[in-house]
Amino acid sequence: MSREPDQATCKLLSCTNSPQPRKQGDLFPSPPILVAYGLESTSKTEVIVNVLQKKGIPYTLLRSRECLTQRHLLSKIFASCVSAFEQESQIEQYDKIDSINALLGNLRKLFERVGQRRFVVVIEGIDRLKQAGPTLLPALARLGDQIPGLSVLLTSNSPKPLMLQRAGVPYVHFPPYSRAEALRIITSPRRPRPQADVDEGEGSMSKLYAQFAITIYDSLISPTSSTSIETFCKVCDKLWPIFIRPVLGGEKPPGTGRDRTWDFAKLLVKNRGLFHSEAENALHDTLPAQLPAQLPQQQTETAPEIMSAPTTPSKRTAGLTGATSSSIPASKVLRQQQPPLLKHFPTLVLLSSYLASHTAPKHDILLFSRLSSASSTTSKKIRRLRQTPTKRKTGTTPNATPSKTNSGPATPTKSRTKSIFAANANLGIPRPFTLERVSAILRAVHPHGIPNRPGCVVSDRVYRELGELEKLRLVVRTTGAGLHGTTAGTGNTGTAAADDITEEKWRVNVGRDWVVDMGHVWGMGVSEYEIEQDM
Amino acid sequence: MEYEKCYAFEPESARPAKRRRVEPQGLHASWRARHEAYQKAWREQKQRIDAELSSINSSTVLELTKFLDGAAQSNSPGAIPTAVLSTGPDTSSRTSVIQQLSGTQNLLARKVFISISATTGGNLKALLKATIQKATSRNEGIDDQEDDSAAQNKGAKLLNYDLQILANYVREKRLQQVAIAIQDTEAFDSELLSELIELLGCWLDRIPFVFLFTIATSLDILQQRLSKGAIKCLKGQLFDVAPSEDEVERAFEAITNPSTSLWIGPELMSTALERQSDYIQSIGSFVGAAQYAYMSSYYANALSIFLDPAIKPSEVSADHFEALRNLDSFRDYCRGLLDNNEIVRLRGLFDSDDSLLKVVRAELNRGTEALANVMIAVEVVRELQLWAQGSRAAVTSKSKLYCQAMSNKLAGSSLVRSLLLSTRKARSDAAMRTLTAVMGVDIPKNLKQQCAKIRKELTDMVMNQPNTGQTLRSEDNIRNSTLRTTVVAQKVELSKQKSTLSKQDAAYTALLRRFTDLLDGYLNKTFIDPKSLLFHEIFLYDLKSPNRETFTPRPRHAIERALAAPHDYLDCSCCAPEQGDVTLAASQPATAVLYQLYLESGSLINVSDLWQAFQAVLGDAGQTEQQQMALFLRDLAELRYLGLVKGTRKRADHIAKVVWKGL
Repeated sequence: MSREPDQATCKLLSCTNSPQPRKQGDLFPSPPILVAYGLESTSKTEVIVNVLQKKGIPYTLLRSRECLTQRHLLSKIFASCVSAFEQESQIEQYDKIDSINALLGNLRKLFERVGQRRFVVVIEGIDRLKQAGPTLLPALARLGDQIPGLSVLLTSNSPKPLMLQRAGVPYVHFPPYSRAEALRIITSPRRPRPQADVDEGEGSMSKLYAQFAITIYDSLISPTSSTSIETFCKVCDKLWPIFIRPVLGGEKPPGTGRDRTWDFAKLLVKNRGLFHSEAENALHDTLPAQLPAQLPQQQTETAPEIMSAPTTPSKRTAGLTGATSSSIPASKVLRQQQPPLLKHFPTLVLLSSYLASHTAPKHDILLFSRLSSASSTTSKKIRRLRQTPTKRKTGTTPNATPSKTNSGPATPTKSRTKSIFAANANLGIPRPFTLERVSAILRAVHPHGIPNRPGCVVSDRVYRELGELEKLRLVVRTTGAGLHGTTAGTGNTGTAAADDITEEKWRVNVGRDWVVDMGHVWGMGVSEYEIEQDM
Repeated sequence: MEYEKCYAFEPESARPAKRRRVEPQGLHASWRARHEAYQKAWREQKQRIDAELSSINSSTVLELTKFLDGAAQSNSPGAIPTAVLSTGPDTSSRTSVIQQLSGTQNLLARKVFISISATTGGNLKALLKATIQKATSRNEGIDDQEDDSAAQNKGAKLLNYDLQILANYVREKRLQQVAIAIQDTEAFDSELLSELIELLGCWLDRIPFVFLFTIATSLDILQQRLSKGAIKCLKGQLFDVAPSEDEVERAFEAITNPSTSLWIGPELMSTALERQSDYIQSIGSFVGAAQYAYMSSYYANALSIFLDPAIKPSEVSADHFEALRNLDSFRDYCRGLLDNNEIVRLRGLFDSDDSLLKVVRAELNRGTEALANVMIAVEVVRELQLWAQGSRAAVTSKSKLYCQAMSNKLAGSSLVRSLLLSTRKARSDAAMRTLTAVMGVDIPKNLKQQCAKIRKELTDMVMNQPNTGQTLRSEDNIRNSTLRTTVVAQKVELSKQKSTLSKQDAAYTALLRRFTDLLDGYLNKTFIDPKSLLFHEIFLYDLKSPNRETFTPRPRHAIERALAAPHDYLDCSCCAPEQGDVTLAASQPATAVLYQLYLESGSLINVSDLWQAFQAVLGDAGQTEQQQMALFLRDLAELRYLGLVKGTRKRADHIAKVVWKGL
């Protein structure tokens, strides 16, 4: 996409513009360093490259995104200079580039050897460079001073000024495209329109397209991502074929009269639904994944709910609408036909891990002990106990509460005073749990109950299944035993933490929705074991 | 114990002084032969299983190959073509798909296929280094005789993680595609993976990348983990690998191949299958269970030496024949012979090893054949199910039916009865399909002939009926008859009224009945009780406990039991439970005493109280207090070593209970 010459370009031109060198090797007053900054997708690099090309100045373009380290960037600068001056054969005479000093020395040597020539190094997105040292930017800013003929052009996506440690650096600002500019770019005849091969009424089509683009911009782009012309492009490309399908499909436009035609208003009314669900999906980047074979029939199933057009769409329309829609419905349909992802026991372990991570140990007695299972409704009991916190200790004989963890219940007064902090600190953050706790919870939440005869292999199996889940990263091992201990020592976490370093702990790694989905397959839920975080 | 993490075991002397019996005796003498027989038998079985399993994903591999070819042809700018391979939590299937794919892809001249995993590198640099190295170090033999030594030295030396190396390589070799398979997407750090994708996305204009992710969980999770920029770089397509149930069925089929000599019994098979369906397990562990069954049968059952059909009487010692004569099934057989007054034959079996061997051979053949026939009958039942229910989903899996049939639950069962009934109600077109399907199974010859005869008659009947094109209906179908109620002498009589069934229909019904009777007879004859076969102890292995001990061990239970009831292990007379109800006794090991006291206490244990209780249990059995204290401290250390107790910050003189019994 091209950018019309605007203010920024003019400024850039004036910066690089120098009086014509009278003879080869003349010093020219072009700045040793120039910074172009502006938000992403404001075509900084394209403009710079075009200007340099037009003026016939030799240059090289380096992307700092492709560089992993500072050293990588430095060696690339030198390598590109060498190849630009066609000095590859003498590469052995130069030092290895492992520091800024080496680069400077090498470049000096190189420029002396080839004679003083103008050369511009354009480094794109310098703010994105990984592992950049503190001296890199100042050094780059001074490179042009040290080596006559070389100038460095940096572009930056961030509005923050670069730490160049140098006064008088010319900055060129690239403002984001305004509405008019964006629309001009999108509707410019030079940009190929999607489905431009439609032969009927080329002129009217482009007019329709312009109106369409305006609508898209105002409804979708300007409130969400007005700076990104790429998103605009993509959304237009995605939606335009759907939008004009009534025309191409030869549908009769509504209304009376013999020479009625599809105009923009009619199309818009027809495609009302398009601007709700589908357009919003088009804004999101999803990993579009479709099964190649089963695609069509599944898509037709999901299509009606996507397409909420007033008139019933034809079969073809529905199928094609689905095909361009986001892939998420398709994958959902797919999952129902497939065998469940997790088998019965792993699901149970995952559920227990989730509960262990998201239940405070002090609630264990309420939720997972005989106390809770004996009552008809757990929630009623919880509520009653909550009102009278002193009663909480009723019926807690030590052996009857196997699910209690090593950290004993805090005293009521203590918990009340720090409840605000506790609720805020632990909201939604999974806490680590021990093997003993998860197997106790598993015993409590097992839908059929585990027979209490000796020799039941369940608890020995938990450790293995935790390992399997860990391999899938649904559960992760926390290394924080030692770390946790130190924080407990300072008194930040009230509950006494594990002071045994060798103790293994895990933490659930997926969100509630996913766990609920998995449990749903086997008819297990977590909601009956949850209490609100308000106490 | 605490300070020594490991130690080197050094046996004191090479040979014990006592003279050993080196040569195996008795039944053990055939051990070597059985070992060889096992290896031969399992090798054949393993080959069958491998062949089945490798073919299972061939369609996926084909699809992926197509995808890769398509991606190589159409270069889409801006987004890396990505195949997302959804494999399920089982790890073995994904590696096999990737391996097969890389085998085929790397043979192509203009393509590179590399696979990386999370262990390849912990950071971006290492990952890129490995990737570049793998991609460029492909076997050079394929390439034509280009002189690339000049190109190597061109330009400055690049850093080894610079993708420029790969780009140069791609340009030199004119590669069409660099496919990168990421094996365990879940195991990658999500940030690292996103960075890698974004970086490779930058180079897409110079290097034609294609991605292959294998995911064990769901696409949503992958999408959540990747950064927005990374997702922008990908253009994905989802592929499915065959689910693990399929794999199990295939492996099962290979294991119950008709030519196998050793059959795995229903109990053992059903526990293995159950384990497979309940837990995340690779197919390898199922195969492992089968292999272990083979091993335990061949190694522990001396009579399995007879499974080798080429065994000579001279190679078998007399002990084996003696053992053979003591088998339960052989005794029953002998009793049968006696009842039939075949005393001479019986005498021969007792006296002559040769004649016994002959019988054994014949009976083993007969037995395995009978079991193979059971498998065929199972297949017939499945075909009937398929045509009666009309969908593949309603068909019971072969392994399940096998377990039922082998435990003799299928003959005359309600399942078979209802199947035959619904077959009897079928219309002529459905019946024709069923007939054809049953004939497609490898059923015995005479049954097949009879079926063919019935089919021919049916075809004639359908062709010869007056209004052709109409299907014939069965009288047995209730929908074809109406119930009529009549009141005769104040009693309601129900009478069935056949509704307008033609003569042809009646004939058709008779024909169908013939067919189902035929099938019924066949099934009843074939579904035998395997335990009734002579010498089934040899060719049928159905012992659960060795497999259970190996594949589902219970260490926790064992430790708890050893500490809580030491008598179970020690079997000493001093603390036998008959001596009153006291479970705590001074004669028990001190650690067990301490453990039982530990079980009685709460989550926090006062050490002083524990010591006093311990002292009270030990009593004054001639030990000084110092000795008792030493014992106590040692046992407490042992409990801590086992991870049962630990110190607590809450109270200085307490220890915390960590493990509860019976969890």
